[in-house]
Amino acid sequence: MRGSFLFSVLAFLLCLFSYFDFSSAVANLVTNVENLRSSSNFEESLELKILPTDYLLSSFNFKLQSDAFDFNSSRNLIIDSFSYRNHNGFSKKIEPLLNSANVKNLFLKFARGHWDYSKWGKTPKNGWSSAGSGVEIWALIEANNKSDAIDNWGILVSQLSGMFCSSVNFINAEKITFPHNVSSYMDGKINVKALPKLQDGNSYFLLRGSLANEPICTENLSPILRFLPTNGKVGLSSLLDGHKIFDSYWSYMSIDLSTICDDFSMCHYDMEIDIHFVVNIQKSLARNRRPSPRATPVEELQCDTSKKFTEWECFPLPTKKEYSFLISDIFGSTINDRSRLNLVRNSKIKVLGIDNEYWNTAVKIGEEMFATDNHEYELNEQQPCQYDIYIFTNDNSKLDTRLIESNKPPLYVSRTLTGNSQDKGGIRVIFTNPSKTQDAIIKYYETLPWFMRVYVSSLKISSSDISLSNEDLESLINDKYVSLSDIRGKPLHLEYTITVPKSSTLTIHFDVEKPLLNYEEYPPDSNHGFEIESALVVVLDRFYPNKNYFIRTPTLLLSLATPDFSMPYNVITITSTLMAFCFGLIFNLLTKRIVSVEDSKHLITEKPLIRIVKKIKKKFKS
Amino acid sequence: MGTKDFVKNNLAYKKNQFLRKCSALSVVFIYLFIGLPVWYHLTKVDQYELEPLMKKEKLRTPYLFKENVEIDEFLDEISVTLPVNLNLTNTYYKFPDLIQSTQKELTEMLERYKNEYKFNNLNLNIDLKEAGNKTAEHFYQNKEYLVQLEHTDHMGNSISLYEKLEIIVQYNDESVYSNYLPTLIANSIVNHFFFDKIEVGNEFDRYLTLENKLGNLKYKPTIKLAFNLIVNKNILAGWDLNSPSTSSVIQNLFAPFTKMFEGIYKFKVETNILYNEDLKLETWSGEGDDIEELQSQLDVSRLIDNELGDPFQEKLLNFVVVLPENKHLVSDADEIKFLSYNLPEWGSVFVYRDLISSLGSDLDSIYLSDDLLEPIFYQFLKQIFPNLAGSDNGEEDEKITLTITNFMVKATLNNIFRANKNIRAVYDMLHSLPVVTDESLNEMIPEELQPYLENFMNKFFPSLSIPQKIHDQLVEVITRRDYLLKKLAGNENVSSKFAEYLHESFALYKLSDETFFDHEMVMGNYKSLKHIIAVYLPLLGPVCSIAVGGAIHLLKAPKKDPLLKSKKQE
Repeated sequence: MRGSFLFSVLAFLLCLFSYFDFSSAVANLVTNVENLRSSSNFEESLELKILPTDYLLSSFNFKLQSDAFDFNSSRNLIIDSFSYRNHNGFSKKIEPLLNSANVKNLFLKFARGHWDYSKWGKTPKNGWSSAGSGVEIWALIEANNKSDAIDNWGILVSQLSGMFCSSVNFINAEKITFPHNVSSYMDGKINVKALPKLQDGNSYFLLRGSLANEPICTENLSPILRFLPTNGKVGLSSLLDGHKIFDSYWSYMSIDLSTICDDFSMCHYDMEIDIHFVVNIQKSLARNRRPSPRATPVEELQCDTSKKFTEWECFPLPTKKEYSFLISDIFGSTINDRSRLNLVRNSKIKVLGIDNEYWNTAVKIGEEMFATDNHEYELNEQQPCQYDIYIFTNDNSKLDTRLIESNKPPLYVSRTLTGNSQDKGGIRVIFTNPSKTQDAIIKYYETLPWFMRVYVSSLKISSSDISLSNEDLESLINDKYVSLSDIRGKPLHLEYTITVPKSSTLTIHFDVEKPLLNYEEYPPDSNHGFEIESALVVVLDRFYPNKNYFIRTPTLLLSLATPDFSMPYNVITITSTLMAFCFGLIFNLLTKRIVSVEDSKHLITEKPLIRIVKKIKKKFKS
Repeated sequence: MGTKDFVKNNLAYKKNQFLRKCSALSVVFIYLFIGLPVWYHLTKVDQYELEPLMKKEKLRTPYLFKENVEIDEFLDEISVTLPVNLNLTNTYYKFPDLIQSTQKELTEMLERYKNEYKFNNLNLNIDLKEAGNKTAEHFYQNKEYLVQLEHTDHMGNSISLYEKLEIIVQYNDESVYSNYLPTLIANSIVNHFFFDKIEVGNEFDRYLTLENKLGNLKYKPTIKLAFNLIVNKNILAGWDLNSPSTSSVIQNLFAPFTKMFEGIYKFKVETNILYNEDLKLETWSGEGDDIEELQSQLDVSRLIDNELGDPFQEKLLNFVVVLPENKHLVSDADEIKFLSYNLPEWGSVFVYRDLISSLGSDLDSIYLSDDLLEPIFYQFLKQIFPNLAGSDNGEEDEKITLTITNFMVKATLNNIFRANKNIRAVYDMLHSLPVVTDESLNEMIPEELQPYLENFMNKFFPSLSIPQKIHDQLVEVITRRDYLLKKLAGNENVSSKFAEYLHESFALYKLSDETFFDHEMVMGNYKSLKHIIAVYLPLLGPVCSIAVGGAIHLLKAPKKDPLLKSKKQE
């Protein structure tokens, strides 16, 4: 049966060979197919938010979804003698990346620069889309035990470090932690019900690791753009230019990857890419106009009328009050056509944070401009064209006060190192609750490297509210989870649930011991200090856990006592000498005979020649 | 001093001397019997001498230890026995001794061929068997060599090597009476199953098809096929390859193709559509038909999707259809729609010549149907077949089954050859490393003296030691290799076993590769005895010299108290 089948097939092949003359292929492409599926369900949007004092926050959001596949049949569609897998525009890199390390959800974040909480309010996406300066990774890994999970993490980070231009492979077992209270961080981020079924004996482990102040270079944008079907050439992604992003005050990129399965083990991957960055509008425009620094021409000069202002005297305003610009002036390019890779939803652009009375916006399509009341624009032109967004203000200080008010952070956090000593110090974290009506319940998630030896018992709490007694202060810490560090094994991991009373400042302080490290553990630039990653603070929302607000503190720079690097050789020399000296001393005491000085004269043996001469002399005398 | 005092003092001296000797010797004892073993235990690296094993191997397979050993020398020492079945049922005559006489003819003919055509190195044996009651279908299914006899009025043969391995030998009465039939059968088997004419050179010269391209094969058990549609346009695209269960290209072309390699390869297919990617063709102003120009322009590196497969086990082949937007490529209506470009070992690229934009400005999507894909996909399969079956282009047209059957034997031999190379590499590393390590020393020594240095080093450090694990793996590789070679040379082979041999040989090669590249081995080599001594000797020296010197001094001390003696003399 099998043979006859093969023969018929081979005969068919023969027929084909004789039938198909390559040059005779006259069939053509079929156009405008109605039931064609969107490429990886691609969606894109851009939010332009004007921040106080002429800063512009650009938030790009891209969503992709892979085709569904059967998770139980080796993740492939099996057809007879071969396996088959369609990707339909979804990057092929993702599946092997997740499968090789048995990762089900991955959250990768790159951040750089400074976010001014007091002026700009909350970070985008309630702080989830943010990271301490450097790289941060969260991964949900299926494994048999913690040790396997750490091994899988090693595979994951080594692959990520090959994919992106950063040293994420340095986030090893010494830096990773297993979050204790997972729901506080992952509510709304991981859909537990949609996770694939576990294999026998396995469990899910959530791991978190970060690398402080890892330089983020333009090369990190390229792999992200390669994930998009638009490839950075059309649609909103055509605005993205690595030089502009990394030349900003604050930039942030994240990739959220999730495995979503239904009850029948049919799964797909969801990918969400966020890119945010903050630039100063006026400075960007000025740089375009005058690439080299020069004095502002008279016609462009805007004077501060509150100061002395005459025909000859002008105190220039720090920034112009009235200006207009196209976003292509900021991004360096226009939007090249809309993305046609999704027939369901068009690309959207929204301008936020402005007062309608003082600001105007419009979309520029070709040479024409169109405006809307709500400052939302959908890119839907049938013909290929260039899009741009025009923004005008006659008073830049007039912003959407309601939005600013609602966007105020519920908590401010600062973290510093204290003490000047090279062997001892402290770490102080200050939580400020600006709310006059509500106490803030927070999760304080601290990860400190093993070489920063924190005395957890030395915790001191103080508050700006002097009416609170010590007992009251201690009762503010509702829940404590401490996983002590292992030397060269794992970091110190603290998770405290703290209540910060309304309109008050709460300060916690730990004593820290700074040890001497092994010779080879010091980096080449050891005097620069050791970068300590940010602490994570989550302000818990009592009613909507998925609206918890995430804050990352700035990173710290810990300076440790550095040895004289010639020390090992001195140590070897001194140790050898001391050992020889001590051993010799004991050995002599054990084996040598002690005699008096007088007796010792008898034991002095003379040289043979003198002895002979003496003997001869003695004979002559006798 | 009285005699009594003298005796008393001397006794005290002797007692003292004895105690001192005891303490000194106990220190030496502790040093030797506790200190040294503890030190050795703490610092030793698990090591195992490879020398005896390699010496044995050198005697058995001397070709391995020649400089730059070629595959010909390897094949010279290899014997392979292939079974051929002769169907003697329902023949016009009864042939009671045809098997034996044909076998004799075959053996003689193979020997003569080997002596006559020196470029054939493999020792091939053909084991002629009687087909018995098994049907021809059985042999076709199992891809076994089958010879059928047909009584006609002439002598000749008809060959079917495309879909089966069959020769029908036509004989007449005269061939039977003159006892020419065994020669006729042997001739048909040798010349049609195993030997072929050389295209260039003497038309009578024959080469063994099993040796053709044998050295170039690199068998990997999994074939990963990446079908990519590249669209340099901002429009949605699709193709029938996204629906494998309904696509005629997959069902009628690809599925049968994979069936042919059943048991040899596992096929994994991944399809993808890449948008806004031009592979540098957008700006190309080259000639449309000039493939060399296309080759210089095409940037296929952009297709490398950084797949995290296992490069040791997987071979990646690409089928790429590119829809660029380049007016220089546009063809006339009667011209071919695709430019095809084949990259050996990589796959095929097919570039669509018409402009998509010319199809209309309101274009939202395009679709490549099976009709359009079939001819190019067929060409792709034709192009990858030689790569998968280790054959020349064109060979497959007539002899697909024979090519694939030969491939199994060739790939098996090649895997053993590559495993041999790894064994040799281990040997080279262990014997030449001491010299390499002291390269800095080499530079200081005149060139003419360097052979002496090498001899000296090899004498002084005959080989580096290896961890036990590596030794065990190496022994296993050699044992498994020898067992496989024995099976290949044995008379109990059937064709269906060659797929099994192929996988065994690959596992063997994989193990040899792991042995050679073992991290512990490379690191272990450098933690040699020299290293241990170098690190610890400075510390041991002063302590050791005091202990030993002190002990010797005490042992040499005079039996009588020299103080008393000198006092007595005074």
